[in-house]
Amino acid sequence: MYGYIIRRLLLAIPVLIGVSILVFAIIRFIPGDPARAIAGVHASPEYIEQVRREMLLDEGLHVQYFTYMSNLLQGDMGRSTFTRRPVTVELAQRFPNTLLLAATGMVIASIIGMSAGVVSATKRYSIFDNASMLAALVGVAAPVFWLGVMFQLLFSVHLGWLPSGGIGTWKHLVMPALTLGLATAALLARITRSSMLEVLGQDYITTARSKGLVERVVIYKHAFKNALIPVVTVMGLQFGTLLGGAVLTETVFSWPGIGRLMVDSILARDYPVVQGAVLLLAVFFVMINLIVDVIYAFLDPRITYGNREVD
Amino acid sequence: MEAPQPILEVEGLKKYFSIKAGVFSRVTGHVRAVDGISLKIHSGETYGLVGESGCGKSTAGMTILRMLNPTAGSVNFMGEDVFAMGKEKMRNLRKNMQIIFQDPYSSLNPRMSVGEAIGEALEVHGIARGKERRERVESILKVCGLDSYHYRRYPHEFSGGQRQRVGIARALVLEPRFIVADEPISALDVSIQSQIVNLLEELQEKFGLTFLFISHDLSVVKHMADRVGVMYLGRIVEDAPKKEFYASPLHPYSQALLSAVPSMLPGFDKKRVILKGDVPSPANPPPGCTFHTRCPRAVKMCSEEVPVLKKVGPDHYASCHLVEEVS
Repeated sequence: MYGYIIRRLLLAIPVLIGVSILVFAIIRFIPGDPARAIAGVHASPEYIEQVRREMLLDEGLHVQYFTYMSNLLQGDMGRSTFTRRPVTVELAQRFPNTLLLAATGMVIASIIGMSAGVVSATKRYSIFDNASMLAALVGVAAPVFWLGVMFQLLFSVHLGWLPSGGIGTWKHLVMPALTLGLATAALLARITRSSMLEVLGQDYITTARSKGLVERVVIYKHAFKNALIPVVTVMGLQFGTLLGGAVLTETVFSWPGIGRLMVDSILARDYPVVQGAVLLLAVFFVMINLIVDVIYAFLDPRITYGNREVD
Repeated sequence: MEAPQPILEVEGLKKYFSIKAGVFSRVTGHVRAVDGISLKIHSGETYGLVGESGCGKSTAGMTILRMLNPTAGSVNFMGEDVFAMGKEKMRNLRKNMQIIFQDPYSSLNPRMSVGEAIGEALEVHGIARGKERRERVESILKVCGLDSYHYRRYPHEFSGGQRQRVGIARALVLEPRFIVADEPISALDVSIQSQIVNLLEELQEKFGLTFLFISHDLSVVKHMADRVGVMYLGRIVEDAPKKEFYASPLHPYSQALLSAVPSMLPGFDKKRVILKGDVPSPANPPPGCTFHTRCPRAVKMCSEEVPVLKKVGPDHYASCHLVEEVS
């Protein structure tokens, strides 16, 4: 197992290098002159030229890239051209907020999605099943920014229960996390339902019933645990969507996370920050999926990684 | 071997599945998977239930065990009405009636080790736990031709034949009186089939088991069964002691089935009765005798009147207009 994890970590390196090249290239192709943006509207041509030299913008792309990467390996992601603070500091300040938001969203999504899926599957074609699957369809289809604004309208403007934005108490967390989590909840509900239905049709469920087990044990011990694998896969992939969705959610709810930082930085042509933020999210996404693969082995004894021990 | 009181008595058992269609899932018809079957099995006996795929034999087995809820009819097991039982009583009864499945791959939970899967039932019924549980599971594994070190193994580490042994061990660990064996060997390699058949016979003798042996393989049924019932489209069309059935089948369908069994003696091939067409849909069975659309001997009456299962010999029953009833 450890060998497998190390192998996977090594395999993540080329992926991350690829991501860094892509991000680097895409940002360079955006029209506009960063040197001019940084120097300000009224700067003299000489000053703009000086900024350009300082930022190595007059060098070839490959030189810029290798300089960036060698600095990165030393823990230096450059400075924000906007706030002049190190990118690492900016990210370290914002990332925990995004993590909190995404994790809460995931917890909400898992609780709502999985329980709705299990109940739907066990009470197939019931009113609950039809209603929750319809809700799931709406949930998958509704865009995050629309949902967020609707929540604000309802809970902040009309009911006045929750603050419409910002960060601080748990009350600030409720709406953004719910907004972020609902789409994933909807997807998880559908996946859980179909996976459960497939497992419930297997003979070993009949076997379990024929042992004289109570239905609750049959559903959870025998069916649900076997149905979890596709659900966990989707959860891992959805975490990426959640982080991406955070960009919108954080903007709607003025949540000071990586997502909003990225939006602000893009608008300000703050290349180093955008680059750093995207890279950080990519590393995080790769890690989550590695964790998912490790979880598989616990869920399904048929999955082994590398040499299995002989008993 | 026959005891006066049968251990299992099935009366007029029906299992219909409703067909739903449209936006509001209105019931538009029924699949008559099991359409009023009756049979008796005596203690220690093997009843072979044969028929083509889709004739309802597996559904019959599942419904008898109340793994499916019946549409009508009654099942009397060891003097008790199975369908009238409450949940708790039913769970207790499960100790005494078990099932062996056709597919040894899907009948074992892939996440549970063999020991857990077999031992779970012991714990549920409060028979044994801990060390005692382990010992009992290991001993039943040995009885079924496996080893005690298989206890910790997972189903995917076994071959098909071994898995079927696990399935049998699982069914036997509660020491049931009655077992429904639903095509227990048809998914196995031919070389393994005889091993499993022999194992089932050994176990029957050792534990005094009663089997409902569901199969489409008439040669295996000839080997295993004491009594044979032939099913066609959800109904039993002939029911007779094994010897009598194989010597003189009376229903045209049974005759056709038996004529299809390859003969062991070259040159002594029986004249094959080839049935035309396919089995009609159980959602829309033909009127009269359901077999008349394919029967080589059908007459006008067959498409008009439903034949009943009548006595056609000593302890021999058939439902065919062309066979004389005896008193």
